[in-house]
Amino acid sequence: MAKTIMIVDDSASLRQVVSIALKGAGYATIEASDGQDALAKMGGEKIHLIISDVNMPNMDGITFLKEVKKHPSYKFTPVIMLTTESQEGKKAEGQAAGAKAWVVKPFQPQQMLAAVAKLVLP
Amino acid sequence: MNDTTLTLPVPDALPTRTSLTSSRLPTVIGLVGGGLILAFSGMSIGGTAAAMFMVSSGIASGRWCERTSNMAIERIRQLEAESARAEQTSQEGLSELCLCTLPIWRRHIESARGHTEEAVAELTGRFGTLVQRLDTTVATSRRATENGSIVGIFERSDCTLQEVVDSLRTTQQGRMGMLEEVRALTAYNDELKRMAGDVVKIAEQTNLLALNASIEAARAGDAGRGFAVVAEEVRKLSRLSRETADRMTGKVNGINAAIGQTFSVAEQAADKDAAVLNRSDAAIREVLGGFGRVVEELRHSAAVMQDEGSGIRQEIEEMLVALQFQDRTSQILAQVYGNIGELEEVIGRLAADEAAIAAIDVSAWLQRMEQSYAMLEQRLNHSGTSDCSRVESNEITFF
Repeated sequence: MAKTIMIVDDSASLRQVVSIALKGAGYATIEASDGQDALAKMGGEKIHLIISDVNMPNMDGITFLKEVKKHPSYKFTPVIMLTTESQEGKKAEGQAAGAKAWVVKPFQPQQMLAAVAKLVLP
Repeated sequence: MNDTTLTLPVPDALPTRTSLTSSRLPTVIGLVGGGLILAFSGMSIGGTAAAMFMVSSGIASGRWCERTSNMAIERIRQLEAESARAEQTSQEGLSELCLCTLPIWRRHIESARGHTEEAVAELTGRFGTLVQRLDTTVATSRRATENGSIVGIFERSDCTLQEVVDSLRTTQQGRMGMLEEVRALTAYNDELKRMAGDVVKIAEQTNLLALNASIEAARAGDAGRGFAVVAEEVRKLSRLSRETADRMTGKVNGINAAIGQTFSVAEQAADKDAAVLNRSDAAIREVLGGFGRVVEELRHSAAVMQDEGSGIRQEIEEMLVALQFQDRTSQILAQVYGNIGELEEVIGRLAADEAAIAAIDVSAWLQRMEQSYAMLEQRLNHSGTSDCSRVESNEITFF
């Protein structure tokens, strides 16, 4: 049974790039265009890891991360922030909100997969 | 670059207000000069005339200068009014220009951003499909060369056919063994023939003995008559024994001939079988050798295809990495789009209220811009102090 990873990014092309890399490594993926969309799609399904952008419309990545950590079913789901944002202040904000890793775009698929393999729930 | 006011040029050739005080100077000079002439001429007629001329010339010059000055002042006022009107018109025109062009620029930016996003998303999707199809092809090829596939089937067929050939060869060897056993039977026949010969000799001896007995019985007369009968019977038995031995010899010879013929036929058949078996073995070896080469080529081409597939997949992945530029471009354009919107709003306020220009804090504006950046690239672009083409990447921080 393939492990499921949710990809949250307002850029459709970025979602596809991440999805292709993950599917190539044998993971199943769920895509969402922002935090609100992601919360709506989380409906009880087992999610082994979340990869989220930071700057998104409707609900940004940090707010979404905080919502995930309040969710009874997903509060232990590891979250990787995948963003163009490289400021230390933002990283600290992500860490404080409960992110497990901070990946700066553009990313190398192999490095991303290594981070996913390290953090994905068993 | 913090200067937000506009200044219109003033012509250098125009007189200034301070220079207009000199218009009274000829009158004063005329009066002073006339007074001095009167004082030094001692009120003579010539002196008085000269003084009056000096005074009148001064007054005339003064009036001319005053008139000229007034005209210049009027002209300056006109120019100042025109300049003010031009400045106001210019500000209004600039505001109008901005209010008209900024929304157009925003639409262009949004349109370009949308097109790029759409095109890159489609491109990424197509690359994704290519990767999936490539994975499927490589997986199919890999399965074809794994055990249980065509290669496995070939290897098992090779073993099975070899077993069949070995089995046929064993059968042939068994048949040859059986023929050797049959050949051994002829030795028993020779023995039987010798035994039949012995029987013939015994029969001859018995016949001779019976003949002697008959002679002796005849010599004995009546007393030997019974013995003569017995001797005659013994002679008959001797003859029958010989005849039986002769028939046995004939039969044995017949059997020998039959065995010899059978053996010869079987031997020829065995030779043919061996030849057929050898040809079959050679044919099987040749066919399997051909298949083996085909399978080896298949295995090689599958390995090449898998390697090429992996290489192409890697190339596509790198191209997909390169396509991530779109996300960065989109963020930069989105920031510029928002910033132009804010500028448009400010210019709208300026057009409605000229005093609002004083409320613009350029430093705060630039600071807000800087805070709205997400990427190092944007900040470098903003400051213009470093290489703007440098892009941070491959950075992973684990918490």
